[in-house]
Amino acid sequence: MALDTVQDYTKEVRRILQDTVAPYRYTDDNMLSAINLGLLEARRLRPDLFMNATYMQTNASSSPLRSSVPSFNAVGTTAVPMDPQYRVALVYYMCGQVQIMDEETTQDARATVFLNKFVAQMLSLQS
Amino acid sequence: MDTKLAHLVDDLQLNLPGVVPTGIQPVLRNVLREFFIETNGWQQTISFNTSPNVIGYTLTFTTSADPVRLLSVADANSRPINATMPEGWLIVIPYAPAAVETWTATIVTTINGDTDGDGYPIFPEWVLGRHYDVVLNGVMARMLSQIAKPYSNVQMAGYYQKQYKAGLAGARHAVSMQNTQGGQRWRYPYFTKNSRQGLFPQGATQSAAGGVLNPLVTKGQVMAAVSALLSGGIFGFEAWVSASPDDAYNIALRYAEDAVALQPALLAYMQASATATPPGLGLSASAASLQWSTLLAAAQGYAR
Repeated sequence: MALDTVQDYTKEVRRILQDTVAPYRYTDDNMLSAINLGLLEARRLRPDLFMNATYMQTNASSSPLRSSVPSFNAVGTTAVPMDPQYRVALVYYMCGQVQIMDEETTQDARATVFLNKFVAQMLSLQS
Repeated sequence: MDTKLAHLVDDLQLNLPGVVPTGIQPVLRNVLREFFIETNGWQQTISFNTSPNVIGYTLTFTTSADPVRLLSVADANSRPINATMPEGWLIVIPYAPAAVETWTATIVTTINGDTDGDGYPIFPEWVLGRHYDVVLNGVMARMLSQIAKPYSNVQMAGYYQKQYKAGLAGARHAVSMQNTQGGQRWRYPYFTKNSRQGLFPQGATQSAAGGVLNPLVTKGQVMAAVSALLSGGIFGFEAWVSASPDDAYNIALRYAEDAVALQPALLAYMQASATATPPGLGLSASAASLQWSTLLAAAQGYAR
């Protein structure tokens, strides 16, 4: 499946977490928070992924690295600026992050696995 | 994007798992900047108009390039001028010309911060056609040496760095030979470097004494000049040098380099009868050999 838009990411995260029937356990706000935090983490680990000025909220004449990281406020068809090689990693980060927020079921160990998987995929050949 | 640049990016993505084009771009920019600075590979000739009583001229240049060093400046008559480039595009000449003239400066340049629409640095297309592997190895070395990337590999970075440095040296040599194979082996003396392109301005004429003022002479011209030299008597060489030092110097320079090729013809000339046409020296074989050695030693000594 394609991972292009915020909607695509949200759908895939819910599929992995078996949360595909509305009303969802993990709300849209949870998903948006997760993807926005994931992009901030990706920016910290791999600034080269954010060098494309067209992705960033600035004009092309200044360095993209001095610009703000993109963020989203609605689960819709807005494209997520992430290289195809690292989209799966972002999905894993979202999975871990929404589970960290979950207070009803304590799944910190599983959340940590997802978050570590994100870091490993960003920095190494590990999948 | 240029086809060769696209091939370069493809090669890098094949060799560096996890790399993204936006990560390649700044590294490519740094490698190209170093390449042009180290090799003098990107030379540009710029014309500028002089003004009376003015010795400093800031060149205006529209191509996306930064100046590195000044190779030469020539006046309107193609005479080399001992100019300097103390900063930026500022050319300083040693004296103020008397009139408005169009002079030319040859400058080594490198890339500046300008990029194309895809974010890649702007540079001449021929670079990748001629030095593709050098640039590829340079980018590979720098990418592999980055910290905390899927493709980080210090050991392979060292390998590619060695390949890159060797390629850089080869490119520097090729540029110094003006990309010719088996061309002229002689070079200008050390004291002409960085100040003058040669002893004599390009386009100068042949002198009445038979010497050739243009350093880019043919072997036939050199032989004719040497014949004129010999016709004056072997031991007239030093006197001839005193009379026409520039001509003699130029001939000696070439003569010493072409001595092996010229030797049979010159020995035959020395041994030819003095009554022949054109007149030879009529020497015995042993005398010709002795004088040949004397002449060669004098020429080589002068060329040094």
